[in-house]
Amino acid sequence: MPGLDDYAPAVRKVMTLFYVIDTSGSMQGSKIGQVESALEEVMQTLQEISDDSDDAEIKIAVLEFSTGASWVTPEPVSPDGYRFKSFEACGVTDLGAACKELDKKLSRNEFLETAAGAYPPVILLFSDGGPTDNWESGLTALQSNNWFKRSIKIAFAIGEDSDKGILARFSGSSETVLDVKNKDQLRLMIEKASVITSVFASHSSTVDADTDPVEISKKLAEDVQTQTQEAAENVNSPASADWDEEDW
Amino acid sequence: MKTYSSFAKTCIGANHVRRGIVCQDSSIAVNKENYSLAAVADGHGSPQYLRTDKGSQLCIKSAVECVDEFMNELESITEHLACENERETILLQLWRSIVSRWHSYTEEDSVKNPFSEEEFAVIPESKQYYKERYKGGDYIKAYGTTLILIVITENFAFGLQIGDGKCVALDDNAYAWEPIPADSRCYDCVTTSMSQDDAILSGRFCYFDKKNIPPAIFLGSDGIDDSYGNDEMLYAFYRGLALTFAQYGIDEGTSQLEKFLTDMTRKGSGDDVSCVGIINLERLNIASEAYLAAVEKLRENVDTDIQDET
Repeated sequence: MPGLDDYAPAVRKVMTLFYVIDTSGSMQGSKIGQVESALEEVMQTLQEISDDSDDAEIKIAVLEFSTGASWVTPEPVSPDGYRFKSFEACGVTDLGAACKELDKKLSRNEFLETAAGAYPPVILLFSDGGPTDNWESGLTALQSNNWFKRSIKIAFAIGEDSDKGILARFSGSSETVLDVKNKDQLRLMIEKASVITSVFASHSSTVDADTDPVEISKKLAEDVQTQTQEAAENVNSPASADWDEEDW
Repeated sequence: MKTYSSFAKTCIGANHVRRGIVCQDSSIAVNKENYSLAAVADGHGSPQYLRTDKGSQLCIKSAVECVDEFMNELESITEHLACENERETILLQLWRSIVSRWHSYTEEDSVKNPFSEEEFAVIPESKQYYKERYKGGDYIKAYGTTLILIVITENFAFGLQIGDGKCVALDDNAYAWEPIPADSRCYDCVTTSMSQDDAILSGRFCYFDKKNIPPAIFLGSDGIDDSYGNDEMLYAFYRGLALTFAQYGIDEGTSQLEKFLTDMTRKGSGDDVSCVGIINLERLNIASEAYLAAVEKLRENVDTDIQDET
């Protein structure tokens, strides 16, 4: 006979994983291709993590920015609900527009409106160049958003032309900006970062309002770096000597 | 009282267990011959509020004593409360007595057990002015707490509240509403309190005459409210609880609630969670089909949402 567990709605909060992806012209080719395939590959794993978690359901939100910014996912979706997207890399790098868009949606009335409530999100930012718009005003507004303040943030500096200083302003520290030097690193890092941050952020026992999210992000970024390196060595040991070489 | 039964369950917050903080919630269920009472008090819990666990316990004690005196000493109480002009004055009189009794108990405690340096040591650097206040004899904030209570008799029911948490009533059609008016001063982590200067003026009341007493009234501390993202899900929890009581009775229903609350704080707010209430089992049994239909409807809506996303 059913009881309270069956009659009352479950209490499981939602943890939204935001991917903020630079799709400017310079990302064309293997960079954007690796992002597409890595996202597609990691979704099944994220769904499994979500299904196994008593604490949180994981949802995905993808924002692309080039000349302007737009949501690939009009609202957060479950990982297995994410439809493969072929990005068209062209235009400039309007990071400020992305910040404004993110600020708008990081709200209980927008993307974080869920029946059971929301955990602070994870935000992964990928960019290979310097911003071309008024990024400072967008970022300043975003930095006053409480959800952004509490979020785990890691930025990925793709290639040598990325502006790591600005990425650090976004993610809160230079230690939460990871260098990505080639396409293999990019794919692996997206996978590792998605999994490591989601596992961490979707457990109530690890989400504590008293802990500085930047400090947590630093630790997680370090884990991403380490585990990416280990995975690369395991998968392809002869190539590991070239691990840090630029190859796009 | 045969017609109504009250229950109370409190579960320490998962975050409090992790940080070694004692439970700040207190609750009670009282079943007397002429009335049933259920009450919950939620001590504020921030480190500078040194004794809010004690504050919530003393608040419950004060409420139980004052309500009992009110119910047994006031003659023709039903008639007085039925008169709209007198009702507010009488309920305010009860409220004033509860606030006053709580002040007496907390003062007595602060005199008998002066604040120690060990207690002061937990006050954060930015809140050191509290230490000076307490040392200067301004003890009351150390005991700050909220309070919600409901009393049901055969002829009337009333509720009193200060601070956050919610009182949710359910009718025979499983319709849910909040009979005690909201206070706009309670939002996010901010709440009105027994310890504020105008506590007597900050009480909120509700009243039901005989023909409008609902079959179930539930009170929850904010740890329950915060475990659900919106009121509709919170009401769905209370509907599920009413249905569980209707099917399993008060003892088994309360036992299932205890387990549910343990999971709720772990997966939900992380805060202490208290749920108390007064129910008419006979009426809930008759209404159980309506409650089951409401539970099914919610389930269908959730299933539809999932399909839409995938």
